[in-house]
Amino acid sequence: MSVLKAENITKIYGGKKGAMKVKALDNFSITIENREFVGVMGPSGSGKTTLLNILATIDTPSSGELYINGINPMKLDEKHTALFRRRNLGFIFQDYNLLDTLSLKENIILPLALEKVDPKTIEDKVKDMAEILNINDILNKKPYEVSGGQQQRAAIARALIHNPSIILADEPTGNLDSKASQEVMESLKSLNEERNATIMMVTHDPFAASFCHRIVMIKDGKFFLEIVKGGSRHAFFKDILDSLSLLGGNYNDIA
Amino acid sequence: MTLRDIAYKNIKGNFNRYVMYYLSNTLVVMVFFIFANFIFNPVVSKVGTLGTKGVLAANTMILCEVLILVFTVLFTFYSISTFLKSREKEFGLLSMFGLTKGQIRRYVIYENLIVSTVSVITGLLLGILFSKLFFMAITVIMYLDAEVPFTISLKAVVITILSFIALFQGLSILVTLRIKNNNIAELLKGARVAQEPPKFSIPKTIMAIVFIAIGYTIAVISGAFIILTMFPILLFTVTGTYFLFTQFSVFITTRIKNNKRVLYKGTNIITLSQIVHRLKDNAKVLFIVSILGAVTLTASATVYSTQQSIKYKILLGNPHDISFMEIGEGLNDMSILEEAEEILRKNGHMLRNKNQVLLLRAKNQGELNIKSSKNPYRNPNTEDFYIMSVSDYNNLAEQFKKANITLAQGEVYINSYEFSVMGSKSEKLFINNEYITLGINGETYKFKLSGESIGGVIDVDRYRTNVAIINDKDFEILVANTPKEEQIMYYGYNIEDWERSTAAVDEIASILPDNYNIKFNEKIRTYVDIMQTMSLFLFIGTFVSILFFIATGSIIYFKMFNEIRNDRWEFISLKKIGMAYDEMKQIVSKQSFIVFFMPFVVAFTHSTFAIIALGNLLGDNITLYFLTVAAIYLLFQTLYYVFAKTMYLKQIKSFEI
Repeated sequence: MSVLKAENITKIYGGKKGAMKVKALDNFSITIENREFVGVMGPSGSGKTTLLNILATIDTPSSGELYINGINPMKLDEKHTALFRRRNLGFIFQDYNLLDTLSLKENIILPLALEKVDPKTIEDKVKDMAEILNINDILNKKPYEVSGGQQQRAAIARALIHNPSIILADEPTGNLDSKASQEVMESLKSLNEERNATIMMVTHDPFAASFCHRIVMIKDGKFFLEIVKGGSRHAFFKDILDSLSLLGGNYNDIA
Repeated sequence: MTLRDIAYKNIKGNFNRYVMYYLSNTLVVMVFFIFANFIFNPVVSKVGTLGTKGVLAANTMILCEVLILVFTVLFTFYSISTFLKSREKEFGLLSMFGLTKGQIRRYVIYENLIVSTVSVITGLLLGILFSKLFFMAITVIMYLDAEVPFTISLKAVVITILSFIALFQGLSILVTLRIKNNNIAELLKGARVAQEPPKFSIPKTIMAIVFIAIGYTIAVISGAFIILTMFPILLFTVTGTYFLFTQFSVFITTRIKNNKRVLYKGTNIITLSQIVHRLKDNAKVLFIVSILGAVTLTASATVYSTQQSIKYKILLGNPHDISFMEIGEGLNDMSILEEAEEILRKNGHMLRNKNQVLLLRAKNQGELNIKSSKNPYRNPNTEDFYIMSVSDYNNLAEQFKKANITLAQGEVYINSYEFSVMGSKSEKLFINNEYITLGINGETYKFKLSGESIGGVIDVDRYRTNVAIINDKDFEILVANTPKEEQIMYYGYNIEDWERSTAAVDEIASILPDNYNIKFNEKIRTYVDIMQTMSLFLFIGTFVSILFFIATGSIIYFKMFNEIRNDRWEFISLKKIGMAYDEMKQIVSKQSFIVFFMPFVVAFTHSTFAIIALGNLLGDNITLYFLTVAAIYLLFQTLYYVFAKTMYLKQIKSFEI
């Protein structure tokens, strides 16, 4: 069974009292299978963020159906949507969204603490996550005391610690230098391969995208094309660059 | 768009943060004006119209005015500086657009000018509106016959406007001088800069507890010497409280945080971390609020319980409202009683009780073992006695709802009246003696002491003569041996609506013959006099308390809303990772509960010990009065908490992802 299935999602902004209507998404469909690592690319204003917000259940589509693990989260009330989100989804943001008042460790265990998991299990899980992501030594530091790459890796740990059905990543390398980007992407890749994490990532960055299994390109809210990794990452990177040029001359904000 | 427009729009946009600041300023201005208007009222300054109490009231209010101004300086200074600190990012942005430091200062000063002008104007208008009410209240409280005429004193208006505009503007200029925009990049980062977690030192943590304990202990054991120990107590308690908030609180929260079972449970992790993180900022505010709260609570409870305690003692010493003593039973012209009754009736005071008791005079003849008092100023009367029969006593005791007593022949029960209105504990005088030797009409009699109680069934006279109650048979023998000239007939009256019978009492006093054989005693004039003064203090005190209360509440409120801006993105992050609104509500409720009620708990505990000390001094259990005041305070605090929390949650709910 597919982990995530979005069918004919349309999102229209504005339109009240003669304000201009904007179709951010137009009959967009996407299906993500278990253990897949999917990238979504597209120029600015193509509807990537809208798509991600809808999949993340923090925005609702104007029409269309969404199923995550067979459940339609749009049918839930505010409280249950929040609970659904925190149990089934993991989030990685461009600006990490770590809480300054908590140490990295406390940030990471937040999803488990909210679920009132027993402290011993929590400790074990943190240890495990920290090892994979190589942030053992900095667990007791505050977010502002460590580098961006380290913050993002802590955020990844937080996104994965509760074994969500799918991780949604929004430009995870957007604020990072190339070395940190590589580290973060390597981490995501190993989580996907070793921990069977299902990941959907929205990105501008062809380098980051090259870590995915397949890339879905989106333009003006519509499906544009899809490329699947065949051989090496290097070859895939070239494919991505070629496809991006197909997206049109306005794709001028390549990282 | 000018700088002034930006300032104006900014206030409109930040209404939530300004509203409490504005309201408390308005309130302060209002009270200040009402007091000033009273002080400058032409009638008040003339002793002839209001009597010395008008002058007393005016002087108290002048003191309050000074207090209000000092307090406003602190409050305004604090409010403006925290407000500015939270807006560094905005100033950074303005600097980036090329505003000079001077322009930014002007911008802030405009902003303050708008808020302070509006609050001075509304405060003044409300003050004028409520002045009339205040004057009416004063008239009622002081039992004045004529109302204080309602005038708006131009002097008061001018003084209010000048003092507050000068104060608000002076402070805002002073605070803006502290704006230093040297590094725009840093300013743009705003409040989101690394903040060290607060630390505590073990010695200071211990000191917090030890100092407070010492303060409390001294307060409890001082007794009448509280006047001497007051300052050390204050020093210990205030220092202890300071360490309690800056050190002990960090210690205890860190300890709780280290307990994983507690920390890793639901929203605790966020609540606790935020509390710890903010302790550094909040400690001083909580400290100030606690101390102010303790002062407010203790002061109001003190005035209230002093009033109630004096009332209680006057009533205890004077079970009858009016009484006469006829010395030489049946030998005087007692038509004066009929006249007095007629005067009472004429003034609308119906008689509730009329009693008549035969008394004999006696003097102590033996060696007495008097319980030594802790109070060196006391000089009890242990020499003079009135003798009363036990059946007379029991009749009156029933009427005044006191316990009956039974006495065998040769036994005596004593009512002593040794309680000063203030300053020392009422103590039984004779209880250490087994026998009392009384000289009656030249003969001495030895009685076995069966008991003693403070206060009795007849009014105390001005020598605080004790009453010795003896068996009816003994009494009959003594009466038979005493000539009429030495016997005394006591007449006691209770009347309806006695608290308002001053006029009638004055009239009765004026018809008394110039004759030492008829003594007139009443509690009404003393009672009314003391109650007037105390009520006046209570009334003015309540005003100032409310002012303090609102202001301390606003400081907390202000603090909360300053944080909300920094918290905004945190709440958004939490919402994104799936925190339900209910859980955020929980976090906010817990946090605001702590900032609102922790100072209350500390203030309450401090006041409790202050009240215990006061109770020792007054010799009265005043817990009930104190609890009444504390309950009112708690009620208002709760209302304030609910209000602040609701406003805060409303803001959080409006945050869009």
